[in-house]
Amino acid sequence: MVFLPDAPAILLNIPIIVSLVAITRYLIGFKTWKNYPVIALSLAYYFFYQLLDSTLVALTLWVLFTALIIGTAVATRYFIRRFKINYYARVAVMYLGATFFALVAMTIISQTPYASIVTDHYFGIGIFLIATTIDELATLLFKKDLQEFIRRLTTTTGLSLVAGMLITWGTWNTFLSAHHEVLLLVLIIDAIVAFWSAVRATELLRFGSILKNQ
Amino acid sequence: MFGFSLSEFSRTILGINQRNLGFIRKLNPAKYKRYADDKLLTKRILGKKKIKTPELFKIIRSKQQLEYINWGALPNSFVIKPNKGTHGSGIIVFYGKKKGKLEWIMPNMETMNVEAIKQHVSDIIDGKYSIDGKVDVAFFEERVSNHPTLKPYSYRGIPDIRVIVYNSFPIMAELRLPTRESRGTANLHAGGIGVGIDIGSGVTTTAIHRKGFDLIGDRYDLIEETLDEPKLLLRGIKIPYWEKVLELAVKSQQISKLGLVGVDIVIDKEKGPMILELNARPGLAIQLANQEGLLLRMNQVQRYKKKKTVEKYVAIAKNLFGGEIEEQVENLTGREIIGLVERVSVSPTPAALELLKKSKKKTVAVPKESVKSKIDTGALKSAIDYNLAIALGYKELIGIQDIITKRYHSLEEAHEIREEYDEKVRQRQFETIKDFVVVKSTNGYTVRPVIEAVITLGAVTKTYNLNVSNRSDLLYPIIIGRKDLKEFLIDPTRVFAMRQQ
Repeated sequence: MVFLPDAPAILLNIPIIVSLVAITRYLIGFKTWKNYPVIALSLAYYFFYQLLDSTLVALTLWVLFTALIIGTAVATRYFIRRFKINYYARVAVMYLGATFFALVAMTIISQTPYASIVTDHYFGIGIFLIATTIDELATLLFKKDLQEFIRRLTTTTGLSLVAGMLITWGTWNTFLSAHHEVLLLVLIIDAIVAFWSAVRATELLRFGSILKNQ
Repeated sequence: MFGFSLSEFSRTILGINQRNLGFIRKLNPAKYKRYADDKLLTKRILGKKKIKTPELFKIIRSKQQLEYINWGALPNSFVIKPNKGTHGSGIIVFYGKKKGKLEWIMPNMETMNVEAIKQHVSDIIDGKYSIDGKVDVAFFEERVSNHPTLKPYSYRGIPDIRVIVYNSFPIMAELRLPTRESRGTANLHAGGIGVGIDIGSGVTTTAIHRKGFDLIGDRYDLIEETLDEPKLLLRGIKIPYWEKVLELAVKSQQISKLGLVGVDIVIDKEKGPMILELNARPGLAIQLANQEGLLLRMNQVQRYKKKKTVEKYVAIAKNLFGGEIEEQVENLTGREIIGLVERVSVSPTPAALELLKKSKKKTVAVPKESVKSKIDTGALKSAIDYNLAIALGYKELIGIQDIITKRYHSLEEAHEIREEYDEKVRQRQFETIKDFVVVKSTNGYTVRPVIEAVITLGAVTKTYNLNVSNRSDLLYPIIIGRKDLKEFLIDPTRVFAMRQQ
């Protein structure tokens, strides 16, 4: 079943990524920080992949710039934590710090044989998408403590990478483009997850000791 | 695979999915959840019903308002809170004020001046700590004075008591103690200690403290002592005003109209228990602190109908969920704790059953009755109702019914009859009657046959010698006298205290 033969597979992947987020949360028990960072980071991977059609390049650029942008945003926040400045101004400074260091990294790469990559507009979109997650991650950092931040950041980036690899997987995309009924299956999975009131896998580890100790 | 069965887990432990879908969505409507999320509104609603909360000093709704505060008029100790904060974030407790300066001292002994406080309040107003990330309101309120019983256990902070109330039943409780690691807050996630409380007695049981970093979520170790010096045993702390704490929790839940709520209570050394806040999405780590599952307890109270008074809900919960302390006493003494009334199962001895089979000349099922028994330390021997004994198959008693019911005015006369029937026992004229005794009562003397029967009380099953008398007008068909109570400890405040074996 195909609704529109030339519909881009990337569009069809979005509900699948979000379903993965839901499954990870309600069935497994790993929390990401909302849906948007997962979608943005996986799309960034998609754009890096488009540069040379290479998993290795996409993975390297994605790991490098995700770590750099998020790392420098967090570091900027750490350095300005003593300044008593307004909340949104603080987030703005985090964006500025991250952008500055991304720019430095791009300048360094431009001196290497891969110079053409950093001037490609796909690269720019990839960087832009990673940077847009700062706001959500800054909120996470403000609201949760460092442990919970690391926990959710790990899940968010891990799941983004899985999702990024899925949306750049040729065989999968061909299958998805030819079988739009997969979305019906996604709907069924969503419905199961929506009414899933049984335990999460991680809860077996957290609360199992109660039964073991009895 | 896990060391426990999955079906047992899902029957006992309340997971977050079930909490949300099965209980919060059904029992906590959005309108009332909003009340609980709004600390000021909670204060106002509870205040109207004369329920004590810490005194409110000042509400700050805008940054402009900060410029008009008379900082000098603030007391030496107070608390700043975001109205819609979660997990204790954004709360700052000030313990004292620097002499001659507008600087207040925090639990970690650092100070905050007016400018720093203004900045913190600005952050609160910007929504940095609010549950929905939206613009919030800050307020200053009274700092509660630590109760002397709990003070030694808490590091520079105020411990609080979380009571989970489900449809008016206080089903689980936990004492949360601040530590050096938690920087004086009673937040378990931040490193505070959670101590389970026995609902029946208000005495602490097991305690937990968060493990180091773990990717799968907060996990806890069982601990025995406080983390900071002096090391104190966490088991056995008697929570002050326990009855009041439970009643206050139930009243607050009923006022809030939330079906499942976590009620946070602090105990002020002068004012007693006060409500700190209500939580419409109570955390589940309380199960670890108590080493018990919430779901099991929720199912246990579901069979009870609506009660008229808060006291009745509390009494049922205390009876149902008390027992941790008894268990410890039982382990120490090797005796089981029972109340003044207990349910027992009674059946004939194998010899009596054999006779019954012979008389019926065919296979018969073992007659077994489950009845209420009175635990009577005033009586030396145990007794059974005549009709119950007949139902159990002691048919010989029918032939001597008039002996059992007759009253004698002199002791000599009663003894003559007893000796006459004892002789019949010696001559083996009876097979199930072992003896006859004279019993003195208010209306004279009675002669009672003694039979043997097997009684199960709690975990103890043994053969009892039972005097047979007519107890049809009395409430309990069996009395267990002190001669048969050597394996038990009796709690006179309870009935049906015995746990199901």
